[in-house]
Amino acid sequence: MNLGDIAYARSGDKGANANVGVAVRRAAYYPALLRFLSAQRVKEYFADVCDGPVDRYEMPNIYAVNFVLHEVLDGGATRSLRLDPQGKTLCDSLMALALDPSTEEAIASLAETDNVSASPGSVPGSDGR
Amino acid sequence: MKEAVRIGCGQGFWGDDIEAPARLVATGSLDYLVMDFLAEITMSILQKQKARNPESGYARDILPVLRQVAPLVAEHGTKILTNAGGVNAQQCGRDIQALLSEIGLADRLTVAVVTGDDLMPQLEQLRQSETLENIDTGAAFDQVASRVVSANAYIGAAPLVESLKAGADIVICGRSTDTALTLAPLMHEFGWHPDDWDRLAAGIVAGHLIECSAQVTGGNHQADWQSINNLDEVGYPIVEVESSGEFVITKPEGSGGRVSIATVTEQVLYEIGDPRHVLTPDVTVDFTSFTLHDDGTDRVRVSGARGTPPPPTLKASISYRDGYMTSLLWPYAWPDALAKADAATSKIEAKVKSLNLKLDATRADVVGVNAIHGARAATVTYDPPEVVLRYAARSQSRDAIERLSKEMAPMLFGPPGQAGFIAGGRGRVSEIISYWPALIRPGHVHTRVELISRANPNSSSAR
Repeated sequence: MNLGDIAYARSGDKGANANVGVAVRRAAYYPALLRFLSAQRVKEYFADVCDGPVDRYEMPNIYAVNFVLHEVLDGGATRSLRLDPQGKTLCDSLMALALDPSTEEAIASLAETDNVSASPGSVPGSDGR
Repeated sequence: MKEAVRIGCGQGFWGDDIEAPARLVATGSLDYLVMDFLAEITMSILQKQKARNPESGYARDILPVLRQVAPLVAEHGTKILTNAGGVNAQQCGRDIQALLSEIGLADRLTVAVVTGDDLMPQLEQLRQSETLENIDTGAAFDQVASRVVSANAYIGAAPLVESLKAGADIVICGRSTDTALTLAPLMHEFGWHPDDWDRLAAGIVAGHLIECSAQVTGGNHQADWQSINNLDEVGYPIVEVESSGEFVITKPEGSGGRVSIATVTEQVLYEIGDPRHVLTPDVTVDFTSFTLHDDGTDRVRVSGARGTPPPPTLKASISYRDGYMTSLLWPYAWPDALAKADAATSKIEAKVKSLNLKLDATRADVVGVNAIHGARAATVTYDPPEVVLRYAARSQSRDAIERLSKEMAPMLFGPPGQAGFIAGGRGRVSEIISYWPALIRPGHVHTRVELISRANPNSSSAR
């Protein structure tokens, strides 16, 4: 399982930094996301492109966690040589992060309890679509 | 007092769908239409234009937009707020007045122009009393002072509210915060005081959600994009805000796209740092304070927003010349497309070396393989049908970048299978304008509201 199976995200630029905001697809997954997705894990995942620290902020009101990745955009939107100078696809990169076994177990048992599949598209609060 | 004020966003950035404002006004029953034409770098582009021609320096796309929209807004009583004024809001206002005359609306719509955000005229003075150090890097302003192209303060809602109070139907400003365009109508309609922190916070959240237009109504929707319909006619966003600050975000009935908790959550998360302290000139907003609830199909209710006083300083957006860049693109066909791209990379790197080009940074990516995810991309174990090699470079030397740009065509005699040139046979050389964020005390900024065109109260329109 990857992060994208239990969450979705959007990213964007802030100068030479970028933020990636990650929200869970079902509210019940939130505690597992908080345990799994630490600043260190995100920093390690992007270590080859993120030259600065990673800040982490919890947003329980929307079942999300916001990360600020410092110095990840090769100088920022107008200087950057990246194909994606504004970091709009950092959120897509992060969705490929593999979950660890204990998180996978936690998610699997939640799915069993709910009797609902943990597949993408089951977004919390969505109107049945 | 209205029960709810309906504000729609018709443009999220310069380059957005030029017909979206007209669609939104025609179908949205709006009280207010806001339009954002300014990205960070736009100010520098506009300053350069104004230096060449004193009657330019604003986002000229506002004119064809208004030609379409002005008759609709005159009919519906919708008011417009936009930052299309750029660095020449006064000329923008005059040209709009001329347009309104041409289409017979000059006596029905009042145009106001807000100025004072432009810091260029007082930059030397400013340096006497402000460090203007880069708030992201701590670097000293001396490093860039001789290369500054534009300098603007992010002004807040106050002069926009003043414009509306003075009877403006169309408010043109330069660099305000995008969210102020939405907050100002709410303060005006509901009489919110400048220290009504929670209500102002709600107005800022509403502005944040709609300021990127269709990015909240199903565009760029990572969570569930495949199930979204009719993005070619995506509905642009509307907030229905109550005097308490509580609001619903929605879009025109029957339009494409979707408003859901997921689409709204994605936009909440867009371009924010510390969510508990989202700073604006008018209020500091806690983005962890509000909640989202389904309110029906394509309707999400946002409530509980909390705010605290704004920071004691204003953000200034300064831009400066920072060299040149180019990127060269070569598509390669199977077989051995990857090996060809590698060989072409070696060839261009060797050429750069033998020409002794002074490049500050270079980068080679293989589009279709690793240009986006880099080290995170899955290893390609098959032989792709095609790839595109992208080689990009930047330098303080324009000559170096110009010379490099001429290496696109000669690569034809590199590896075989090069399928023509994407975007011409020579790399485009572009000047890099970089962004220098600084802080200044608000006392340096004196905004001014000027009514350029006045509706005639005796005209026979039903307003």
